[in-house]
Amino acid sequence: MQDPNHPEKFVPRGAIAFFVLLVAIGLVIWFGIYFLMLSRI
Amino acid sequence: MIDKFERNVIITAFCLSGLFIFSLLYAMGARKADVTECLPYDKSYETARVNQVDKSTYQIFYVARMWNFEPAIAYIPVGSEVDLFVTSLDVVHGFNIYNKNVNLMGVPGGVAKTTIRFDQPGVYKVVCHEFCGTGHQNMQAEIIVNFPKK
Ligand SMILES: [Cu+2]
Repeated sequence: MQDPNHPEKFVPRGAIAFFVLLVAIGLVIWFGIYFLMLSRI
Repeated sequence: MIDKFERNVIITAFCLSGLFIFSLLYAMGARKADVTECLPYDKSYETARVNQVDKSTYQIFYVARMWNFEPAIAYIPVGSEVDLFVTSLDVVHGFNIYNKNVNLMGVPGGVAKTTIRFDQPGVYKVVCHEFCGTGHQNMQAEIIVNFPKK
């Protein structure tokens, strides 16, 4: 049984990894199109 | 007290938005990425023509209709800056120059304008990329960027 006065430290590692990956993929797609646009000016 | 993870996500979102906005301002300011303009319409835009404004500045007035562009071929010297004006006589047409940063709509009763530089010689294909009927797939034009005339 867990002591309610000293709760276990919970770190949502899976959610953090998912969020970081989501942002990274978003950046790759966004800047991929962005630099393609710049190269065509 | 705000949750630590929530705070980090909010900070990340603001930083990313700032990065995107800064990148767009850089492209528009320092690299002169042109944003399409919509001009007030008048009948003169229905006459397809190529104008030379000065030594290295040209205007091309495109008229789109089912299923061709006029002028179908335009000759431009290397290193020119070209103002493109596009209108349509019938339905909505697309105006896309292959491998260039140009993506316009030809709208009847409207004029789309953008400016583009041609620094590399070559044949630049213009295609209609808005489905406009049975001849849509053959609707194209060319901008031929050649070496300056001797
Ligand atoms: Cu068309």
